[in-house]
This record gives sequence, C-alpha cells and structure tokens, in this order.
Amino acid sequence: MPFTAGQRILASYLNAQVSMLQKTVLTSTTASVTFSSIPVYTRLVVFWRVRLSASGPQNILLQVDGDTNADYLWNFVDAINGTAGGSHAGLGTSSIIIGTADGNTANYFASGDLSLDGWANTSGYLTASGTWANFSTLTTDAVGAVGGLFVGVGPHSSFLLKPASGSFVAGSQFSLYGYN
Amino acid sequence: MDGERPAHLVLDCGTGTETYTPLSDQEWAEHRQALAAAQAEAQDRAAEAEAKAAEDKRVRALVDAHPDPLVKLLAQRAGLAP
Repeated sequence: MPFTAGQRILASYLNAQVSMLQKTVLTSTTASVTFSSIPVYTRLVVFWRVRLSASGPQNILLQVDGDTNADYLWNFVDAINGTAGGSHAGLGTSSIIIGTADGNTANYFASGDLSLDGWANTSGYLTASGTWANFSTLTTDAVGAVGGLFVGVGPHSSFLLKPASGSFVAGSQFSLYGYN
Repeated sequence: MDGERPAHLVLDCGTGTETYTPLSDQEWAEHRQALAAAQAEAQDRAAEAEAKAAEDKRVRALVDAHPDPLVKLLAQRAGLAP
C-alpha cells in the first residue's frame, strides 16, 4: 500500500505483503524438514544453509504437499570448480533438486534460496526457482541455478526438504517467508 | 558418523511448533546403508583424483626432462603440460 508523508505506519501494514513464517536452526541430526500449515501466500521464499552427515556432494530435494509420486520435473546448470555442467529430468521424478551440499569437512556449509511461485493459485502448476553455492573444502566448490515444476494445483499447504542421502547436521538453518 | 539416529522435523507455520519424530527402524537401516554407500563413493572419487594427479605429475616430469622443445610444445597444446 502507498504511504503518505507524516502517515503513522503500523507493523501490520508492513507485514501485510511480506511475512517471515518460520525459521529454525537444527540442534540435532535431521533427515528431513517439513514446513506445514503454510498460510495462503502468492509466493514463498525459503533460505537454507546446511551441511550433511553423508559424504558428498549430495542433492537437496524438494517435495510438495507430501506428494512422493512422479509429479516433478527440474533443470539445473552448475559449475564445479569453474567447470560448467548441468542436468535435467522431465516429468517422472519424485522430487525437485534445489541444490547440492556436502558433508566432508566441519565448518563448510552450502547455502541457497528457493522461490515457490503460484503457492496460492487455484490454477496452474507450482514453479520453483533458486540458486545455491556449495563449499566442501578450501579448493572444492560448486554454484548453480535451478528451475523446477510441481504438477499440482494450489493452494498448497506444505513442502519438505531433504538430502538425497544422509541428514542435515546440527547448525543447519532454514527460514521461510511469504510474499503477496 | 551414523551413530545418532536422525529425526524428521515438522515446522508448523500455524502454531509455530517444532516436532521431531525419530526415523523408524526401517528408515534408520536404509539411512545407514545410504551413508555407507555415499562414503564408499566418496572414497572412490578421492582415490581416482589422487591417481589422476599422480599420473599428471609423472607426465609433466617426463615432458620437462625431454631435451626436444617440440615435445614440450606438443604437450602444452594437448593440455598435458603447463
């Protein structure tokens, strides 16, 4: 909403369009993180910073509304130590790859952001897009960008993030925002 | 590395609560199996990288030791020498 000079601004005005819905820092090894009972927002944005218990790199996976069927597709480009690569999967996979993380070395984390657009839409499939950076040693790194599609119509209510192998270790963190 | 049984975490955006549910016995067994496979794969990759580095070093030493500069030039063109 537009503001005028001298207008009193209430916190609720600011929160109307953008809200932090949840955030957590893991205190123990966690196999999956599910955000549930998510209010109806046009778009969700999640920021993640993780390290894994499994040797890597491992893919970080997204599933929506508890759907583990082959209702997802994805496409990513990445660069590992500067060498460009990429991969894609047409419809037929059970999750969307949103990035990679490692578990080789203490203190080395991967982080990324992910937008889920069309969360509240009652028509059209949910689109996902994000970027990530993964550091596993002083000389091993990866960056990438991903797009994905969930063949399901909203409004949606939950999503899950998990590594393809292993778990998120303590200290990994997640925060979720809703945008209108 | 796999001593602690992980849990699934559910963050309820309505109530703000966090609920941890430990993996079932079957999930835990599968989890440990996957960890072992990932570990073995990582060791294979490391061994492969080490072998490649040793081979690269050997080739570079041979090129450096060769008296004919043409050999060095050809090796550089082929990406076998700096």
